[in-house]
Order: sequence, then structure tokens, then C-alpha cells
Amino acid sequence: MLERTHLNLSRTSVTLCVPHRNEALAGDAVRRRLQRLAEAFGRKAEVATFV
Amino acid sequence: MARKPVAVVDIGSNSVRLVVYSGRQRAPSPIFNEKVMAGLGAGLRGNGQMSPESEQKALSALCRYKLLLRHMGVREAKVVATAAVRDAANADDFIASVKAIGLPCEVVSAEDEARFSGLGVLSAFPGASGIVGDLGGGSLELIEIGNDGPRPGLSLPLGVLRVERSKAGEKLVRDILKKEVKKTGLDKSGRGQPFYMVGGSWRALAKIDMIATDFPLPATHHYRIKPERVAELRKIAENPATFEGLLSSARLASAPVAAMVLERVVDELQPSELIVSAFGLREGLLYADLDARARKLDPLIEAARDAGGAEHRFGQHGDLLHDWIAPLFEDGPKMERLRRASCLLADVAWQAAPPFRADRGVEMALHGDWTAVDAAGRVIMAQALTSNFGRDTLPDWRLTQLVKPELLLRAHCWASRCASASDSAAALPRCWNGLTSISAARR
Repeated sequence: MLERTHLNLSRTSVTLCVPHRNEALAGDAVRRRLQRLAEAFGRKAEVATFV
Repeated sequence: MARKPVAVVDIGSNSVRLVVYSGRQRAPSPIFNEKVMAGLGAGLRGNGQMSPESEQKALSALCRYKLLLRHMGVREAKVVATAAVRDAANADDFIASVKAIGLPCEVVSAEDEARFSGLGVLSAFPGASGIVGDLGGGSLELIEIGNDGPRPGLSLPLGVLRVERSKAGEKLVRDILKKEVKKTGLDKSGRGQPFYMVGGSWRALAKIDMIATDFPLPATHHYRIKPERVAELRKIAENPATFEGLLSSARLASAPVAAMVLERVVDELQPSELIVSAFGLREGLLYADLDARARKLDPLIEAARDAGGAEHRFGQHGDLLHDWIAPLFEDGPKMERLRRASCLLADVAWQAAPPFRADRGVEMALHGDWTAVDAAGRVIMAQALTSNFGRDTLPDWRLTQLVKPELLLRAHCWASRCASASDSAAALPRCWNGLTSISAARR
């Protein structure tokens, strides 16, 4: 469904990458889940966009 | 032909919700369901306006929903706003913002909101009659339903976000209900009739009751509450902390007011029983668009045919099986439809390893997304399926307390006939053709 949306894991963060102009996909509930996921990995949560 | 998904975006006073259904059909199956508790109606009690925070929360959710609809390829979406937007002094700007997102928002009138809620209940309870109460954040709709559909209903400013949790709030609820219910004659038409409870706040209340009474099934839809139980339920709901983690915090917060409004409604209407309906406005909107032929279909049978059809090995298996065993049983209409639904599901577990087939069948009967069947009906179907897959007993003894033993025995008998028909079919390569011919000859 959201083919281009993906997660990146770096040494410091878990980043949800959403296509440019699709930022609204990362709603409150999504951000909360991302936060929980990042905590589980001991990293910080981030949302990034790409073109 | 593949069904096209349809969506309803419901901008309510409490929540803003997107539900995507698999298609426009008699038993709509939700394939995506998301809500954000924006609380648009919370500000109305103060200055009559939606607060900037709640508007922002709602608009963010709507932006996301718009994108999700695009990504899911949903071309048809109904976007409706109810009491909060209808009554707010600052509604025009909000509606303009929703339209700017690209969602064609329609503000539903109070009368239509009541009518669609009534239609939603009728779609889930074919042939129902009684009073429907739809408790939202901003309003309480009361509608009489019967064979001729929903009658003109009432919309009262008694939503859980509008009513104060205090003695004065309760007095206001009592006074408004007494006056309006009497004026419309609902006190007479509702007396001794079932009362259908619609809305998330009342569903949460039902959930609390189910937990408190250790009810063995989790589905709130079609859950029954005795009117005399409501006072006790209200006492339980006064301490919602007990249920933390089991229900959303927003629903827990509104539980005391929802229970108070319910107690006052029961006082005024004196219903015979309370029945929870998960179907309301959104499903009513879809049902309103169906043609007369589709509306007459039985949603349980249609859903069972869909679910069974997706899993079975042979086309028409369930209907053939039912036609084969039907002459052996003289069941009344209620049991007849459960028998047919069980036959339609009789082949759902063939992909599972043999020791687990009964479990899969039972799980489907007990926890399937069925609408027009109560807990007892689910248990009867579960008994038929567990027996069909070679196990006699249900997994939880509490389930048997919901049904008379003779009905469970009846379901067991259906299953033994189904199993023998299926065994014959498996043993003889052309048996299903034979069954088809026999069924046709019998008809």
C-alpha cells in the first residue's frame, strides 16, 4: 500500500521516511508507534521526508 | 467482478474516524478502521466553538486519511460531519479547511443523523423494532424503528462531551429527556420494546459490563444488558480506573456520563432489554445506498458465504451441503439460518492440520465479523463447526451457559450429517455433481 514509505535504522535513530508531500501519513498514532519501536532499539525516533 | 472498496469518514464530536469497507455489499466488511479522538465537541459546552487544538487534531487526521484513501485506491468516500460541526459557531472555517484538504465534507442534519443511525441498526438487526439511541460526543439521537424503517427521530444536545458530570448535569438530562420523549410519544412506543445502544461511549460501557460479569465472548455487538442492571453498571463505571489498559483513556473518561445518560434513558423509556449495536451512522449511510433486493438479503448468510467461499475447496460447497441436509431437520427460521451459516462455513478449516481444524472452525464462528447473530447464535454455530471437525465439546464451558442444551445437541446433529455428506463427497470423485442433481430434484 505504501511502497515508498520505509524505515531506516542507524546507530542513533530509527527513522520513518515518507515521500515528500505525504508527511501527513505520519499521524499521531504512527509517531507514537515509531517512538515505542525506537525505544525498543534504544534509539531516538525521527520522521524524514524524501523526494 | 471484484468489489470496489468504499470509505466513510465520520467527523464526530468525540472522534474522527476513517473506515474503509471491502465493497458496497449487504454485509460490509471493514478492511481498515482508524480513529483519532479529536474531541471537537468538547469546546461547545463553554463558548459554543470548537477549540483550535481539537480542530488541529481533526485536520491532521483528515490529511492522513486523504492520503491513505489515495494509497488504498479508494475512489468512493463519504465524508460526513455530525453534531459538533453542525452546532459550532466557528464551523464554516473548519468545513472550508476540510474541503481544502480535498475531502467533500457534508454536514448531516440532526434528522438525517437519526435516520442513518436507525438504518444502520436495521441493517445489522433485520426486522428489528424498538428504539435506537445513538450517543455521540455532541448529541443523543433517539429513533423509533420498525418494519417500515426508521421513523422521524430526535436529536438532543446530550452527548458525553456536552453533559456535565454533576447533579445539575443529571437534572438537565432528566428534564430534556422527559420533555422531548413525551412530546414525541417515544415514552409510549418505547415501553416494553428493545432499546438499541449505538456509539463508542455506550460500547465502552458494554465492554465494562462484559469484563465485570466475565462474559465469555469479546464482541460487544449484539451484547444484551437487562435494564435493571444499568444502576449497578453506573456504579461500576464511576470508578473507571479499574479498567485502565482495557479501554482507551478517552472512553474511560466518558464512561460515567455515558452510564448516567443511559440510566436516565432507561428510566424514561422503560425498555424490555438493551442491545448493543456496533452498526450506526456509518453503516446506515452505506445501507441507504443499497437497492431493495440487496437490503432483503440476510447479512449473516452473506457474510458466511463470503468467508466460507474464500476458504473452501469446491465451489458452492456450503449451499449444496445445506440443501443436502435440510430435509432431515425441521428447524424454525432462527435455527434454519444458523444451520445454513454453519454449512457455509463447514469447509473453512481444511487447510489446517487435522488436530487444529475444530479450533479454526470454532474461532471463526465465535469471533468472526458477523452482524446479525447474537452470542447464543455464535455458540450454536461453533458447536456445529467443532462437531463437524470431529470434536464434540466447546473450548470454554462458559459458552454452553449461553445456549439451551437441546440446541447444542441440534447443532451437533447438523454437523454429523454435514460430515457424512462431506466424507461421501471426498470418497466419490463426482459426488458433488451427484449432490447437485439430487438437490435440484428435491427442489
